[in-house]
Amino acid sequence: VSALPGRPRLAAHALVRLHVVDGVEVVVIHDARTGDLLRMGPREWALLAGADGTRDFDALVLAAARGGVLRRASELGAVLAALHAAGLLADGIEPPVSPVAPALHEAARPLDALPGFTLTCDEGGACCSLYGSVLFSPLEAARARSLLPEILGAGEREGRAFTPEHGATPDGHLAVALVDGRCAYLAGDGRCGIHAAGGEGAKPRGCRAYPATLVDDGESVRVSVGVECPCVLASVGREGGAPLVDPGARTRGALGADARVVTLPEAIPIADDRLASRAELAAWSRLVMGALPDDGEVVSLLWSLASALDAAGLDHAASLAALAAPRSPAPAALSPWLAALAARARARVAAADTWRGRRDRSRLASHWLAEAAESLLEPAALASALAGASPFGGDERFYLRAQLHGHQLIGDLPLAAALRDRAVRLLLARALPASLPEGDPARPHPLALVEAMMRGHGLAGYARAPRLGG
Amino acid sequence: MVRIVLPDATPRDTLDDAAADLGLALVNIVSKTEAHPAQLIYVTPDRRAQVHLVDEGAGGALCYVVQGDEVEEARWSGALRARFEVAS
Repeated sequence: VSALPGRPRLAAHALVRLHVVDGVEVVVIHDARTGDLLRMGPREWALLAGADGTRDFDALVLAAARGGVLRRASELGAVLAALHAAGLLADGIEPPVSPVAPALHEAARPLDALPGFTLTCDEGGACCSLYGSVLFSPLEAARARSLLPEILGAGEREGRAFTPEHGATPDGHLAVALVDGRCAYLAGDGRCGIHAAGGEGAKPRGCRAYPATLVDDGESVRVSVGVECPCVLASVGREGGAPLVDPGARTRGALGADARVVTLPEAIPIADDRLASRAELAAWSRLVMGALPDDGEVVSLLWSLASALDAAGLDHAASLAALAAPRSPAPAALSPWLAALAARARARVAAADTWRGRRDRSRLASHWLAEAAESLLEPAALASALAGASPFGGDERFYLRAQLHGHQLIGDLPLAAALRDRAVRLLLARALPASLPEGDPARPHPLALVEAMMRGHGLAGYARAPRLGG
Repeated sequence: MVRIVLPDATPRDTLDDAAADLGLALVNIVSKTEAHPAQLIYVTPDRRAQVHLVDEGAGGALCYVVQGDEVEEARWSGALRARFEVAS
């Protein structure tokens, strides 16, 4: 390992999160590049408070002394050495990044919202108990601290409840502390304390926007929904809920410069050695959505579409033929996917068990999902998951529509692999109820828990195993 | 001003522990220049005296220099001597 940086700071890929685990404060640093995790106590974290790339070691010692946390300079040296050995330090400051307003032609892009969907939130706080990062803007954090100053004592000092989203420099969004995996501002009854104290408008934008997803495909901004909360699936077919975006907003520009809109790349991997333009993808997704059968079996549809893409790319006739005659995947074809999923799920259990508290829902969920994934390795259980009509067919069909409409299949994987991955997720969700405790809120819609753990806790990484599609 | 010479090669951790235990607050770190030696500068909890930990470098000594009024200098030099079991 090379010498310590002259003016150290936490690198941008270091994600520092405050946790209260069974009443004990823990600081967890996630390495966004490797998925590794490093833990330290609040005092060690306080020693690092000045490490923003502007101070050399002596100045860091002085900053720690000013903060009242210095005993030995060597302790600071040891913390820095551990971070450096883990590849989590950078040298000097990071240039500040200003929010970039969309270009004029992007601002005019029309919004294309998932038809027929409004969200009815049950205010149970399920989604506020599961994610590793709940982000606030500096203003939103100040508002929360002002409304509820007693929470973790953050009214007095921001750092008691917030850490920078990236690295250690607080010049962007902030991640709120989690108490046994729950947002620190979530009240005991599952309601948002900020909402209760200051109204819905006082909540962070990310919480108000959740679970909407916004993807600009060059023609329109597809507005869809992440199927990560049971409320989403419970809302399907209901009327009178909240629209996914302000009904007055017609264009991307109307969403505001701070709206998190993902822009699709010009070229999109479809299958091995096959690329397509985003215009071709947009047309294909419209075609497929229009041709989805009302009562289709979604695992078969996904797998058959993937095979069509492998053979013919985004050829419309091939995809329509696949939708017209979907075939259930063969167990042998599923086998490597399920093995990779089970291995990843076991690894997530091991990681969660090392530091998460017993009441932490993500830790509990990692156990349930690992058990369900393991069960699918049994031929009889897999056959059962594949056989007949799914008890969650309505959820699955909505999920497929939301994924297609929102371009949510586009990400780390080629589209064909993403389709197979989603089929595997559905099988996992079908197997999950047997592992869930009686009365658990995930029981009516287990797919939402699968999806939240896939994105929020790294389970989705299973599909990047080399033999699959990654 | 009272000067207290410390044993040779007193480890930095020992010096840091002494400062922490005595409640001395570190307020500055001064690098060695041609004009002055390297030093750590502390203030006492009531800020009525300053303690400089001076590393005089090659040929010189590692020493504390206590500055304050007569009472404070006597008090803090006594505390430091007792801590390091040195006579002068």
